[in-house]
Amino acid sequence: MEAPPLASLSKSEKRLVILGLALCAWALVIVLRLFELQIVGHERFLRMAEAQQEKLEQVQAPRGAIYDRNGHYLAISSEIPIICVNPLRIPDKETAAGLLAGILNLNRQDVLNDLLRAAIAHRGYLVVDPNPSEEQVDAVRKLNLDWIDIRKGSGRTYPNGQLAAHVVGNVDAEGHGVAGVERKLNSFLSGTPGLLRVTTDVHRRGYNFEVERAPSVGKNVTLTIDSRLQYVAEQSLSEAVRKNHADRGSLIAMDPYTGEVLALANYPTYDPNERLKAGKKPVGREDFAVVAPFEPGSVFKVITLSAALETTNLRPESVINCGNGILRIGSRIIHDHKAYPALPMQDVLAFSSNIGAIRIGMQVGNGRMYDYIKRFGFGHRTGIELPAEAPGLVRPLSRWRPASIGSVAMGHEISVTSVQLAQAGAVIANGGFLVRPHVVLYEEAPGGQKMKTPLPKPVRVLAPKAVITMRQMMERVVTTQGGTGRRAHITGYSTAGKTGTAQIFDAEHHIYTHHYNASFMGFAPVVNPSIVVVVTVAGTTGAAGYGGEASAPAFKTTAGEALRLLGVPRDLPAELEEKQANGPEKNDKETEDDLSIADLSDPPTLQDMQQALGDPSEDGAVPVVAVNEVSTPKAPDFIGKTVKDVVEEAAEQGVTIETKGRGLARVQRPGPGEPLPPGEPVRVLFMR
Amino acid sequence: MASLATIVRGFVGTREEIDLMHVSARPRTESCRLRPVANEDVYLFVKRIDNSAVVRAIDPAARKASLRAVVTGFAVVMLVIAGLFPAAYNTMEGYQIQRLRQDQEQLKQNRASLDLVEAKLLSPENLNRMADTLKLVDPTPQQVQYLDGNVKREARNRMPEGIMEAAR
Repeated sequence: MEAPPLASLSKSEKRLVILGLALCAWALVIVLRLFELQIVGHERFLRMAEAQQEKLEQVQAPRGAIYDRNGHYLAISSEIPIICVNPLRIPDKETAAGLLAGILNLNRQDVLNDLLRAAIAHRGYLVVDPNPSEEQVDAVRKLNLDWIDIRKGSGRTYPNGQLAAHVVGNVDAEGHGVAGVERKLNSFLSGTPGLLRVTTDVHRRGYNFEVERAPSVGKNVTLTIDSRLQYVAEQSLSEAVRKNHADRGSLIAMDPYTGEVLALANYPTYDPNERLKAGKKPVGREDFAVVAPFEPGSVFKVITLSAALETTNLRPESVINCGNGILRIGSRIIHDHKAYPALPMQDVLAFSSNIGAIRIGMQVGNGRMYDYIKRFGFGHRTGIELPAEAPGLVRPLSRWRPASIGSVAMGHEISVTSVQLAQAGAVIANGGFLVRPHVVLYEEAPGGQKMKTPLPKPVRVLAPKAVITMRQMMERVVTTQGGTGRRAHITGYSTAGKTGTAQIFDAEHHIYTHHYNASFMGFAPVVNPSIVVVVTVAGTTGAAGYGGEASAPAFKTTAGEALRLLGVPRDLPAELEEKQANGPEKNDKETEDDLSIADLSDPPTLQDMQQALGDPSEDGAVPVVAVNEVSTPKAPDFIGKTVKDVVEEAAEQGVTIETKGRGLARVQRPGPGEPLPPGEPVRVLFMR
Repeated sequence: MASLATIVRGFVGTREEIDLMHVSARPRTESCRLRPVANEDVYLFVKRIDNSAVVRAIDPAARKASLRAVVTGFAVVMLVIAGLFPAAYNTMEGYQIQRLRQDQEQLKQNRASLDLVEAKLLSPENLNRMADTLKLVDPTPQQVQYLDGNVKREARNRMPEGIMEAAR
């Protein structure tokens, strides 16, 4: 029998062995535990350590700034305080709404509704005011309430308020551009925040960092807009619209050689700092100069005469038969605003004779007229860097009726935008070249490198000789006694232009109304034009609403200021200025009529109007144009009234009547409440 | 030197101490003393060694060893410091960099805020308001004099940009 292993050992030795085994077992436990901690649990503890020791920090990448051509800020991103609340901790929401509305100048009911909605949705965070003033922030801070928090956020501010609102545009609550250049160049302006992985100590102070994602800073954009001229343009346009009780207006001032838009104004306008609340109409936010085509009226005679100079033998002194103010085309008789027997072509433009223009248009012919309309850039987008630009409407030749040449020659049966008119005016001003209007001067990469957007090469539209002749004829519009544009003359400078007064088409009732689009397109100086300005005031009425009255003064103010800012020397001698200052302009009492007649026109259909607005542009923007709010007069109700009563009521309402019979009114045409076309009398039949 | 005698003495004490301990009120007579044990002087021999004059001899080998140990220790410490110093320096500089980065962000925000204030002050509406307050008026064209070299546009024929390329 074998002896036990420890049998040969002495007692002490046995104890030593047992002690050693115990120590080994203890060591083994320790090793196993170490293995479990460092090998098996490695990933888990590593994650815990990282969570404890590291934090992710966002690196702000502010949106690029927008400057005017002189380097002044038009839009800037900065840190702004944001007032937010925790709706779940508010004890009394009605009181809270009243308190917040009072301090932040908000609608109390809107605030209360927001709080209740957020509480129902169990939201613990609600932004009450994304852009409060410093005083409001101080007032909120002093309340010292636990459910109010003032946080720091990045916000977009437009320091000039309404200035160039339609050009610059604005951003939504998430910082995405929704209008103007902000929308059109959104991807360029937007920055992408970066991410830093910061290693922290026990006090959460960082001491090491690693770039997880590099920030992409938004790029700056410099516009062609001159803030000073823009301000003057907006002021003069606003005055023109309000003075004439018109609906709206637009103004464009452009460098004719480069196509740089120095000012683009619309009225009404808006403050981009104010967010459009859900459900509210975008009043004042429509960029009419770009998205709203209209029938230009007599302004378009410039195109007609330009085409005539190049395609016919007509010269400025060529006599045009104006038929003593009457022209018969087919079964229709056209009456001019004045009974001119005949006029030289230059005076057809100066006095804006419609019959003269129709005769000239007829000599040009459909095909050549259409060709020149297209050459001047009408019927398709100019490419200006603003969203939802409308191409306007130029009907294809196949849809021209026999009388269309007459309408088109006077600026009807065609719809254009103000920016297209400016582009056409620049053709005359710059020597015959079609240049592309643009509002972006250059874009700035992060390294400071300036990148100019490549522009298409100018295309010759008119020969130099025709251009010189047109300039001279357009100057006569402003200088000739009886010219329709005399109020556009700029003191100290030779001025040229053309007025236009076109009846507005009421799409709802399919008739032309007695509200007008009053326009003036002009440039100065004549010999070496430095600025082209187009002014359109929509919704004017009466003789005071003609282009020469409503729009020409705004042109004069804006173009005059532009010439001063550009440092253009005067080109009229002082003695001539004095003569003009005391001359016929002071004695002018009669307003020169340049109303182009829409009687010949084939009114635009719904499809035509949709085509004129164009499809959504490449950035998805669709034109948002206010519904035509022109209200057509309705025929009064004369049924059952005596002759005396009918005559009195008609006189009160300014309605012309034709009576027949005696007794009480039994029948009337148009019927009671039906649209009453302008100038048409109400025929009333009386019977006993 | 530890010998049995000294150990015993340590417990029991010297004869004199013992004698003193056993001094009683009644004087002891010599008759109470034990007779000497045989070879007492051998067994209870106490040799007193006075080491107060002993001086340790200098050991050159030990000195070298200790010096070597000191130098080695110092070198190890320096190596450790050198090894840890960059990491520690990085950490301290990291704090500084982080602080500077936050300061830079704050300065950028401050600058943007100041730019905004400046832009508002320079807005045409504000300038116009100030001009009205100061009763400034626009100059008439006759009052504007153009000095040589101050004219931005000259009275000459100008062509649109890119026209030369278009003509080719």
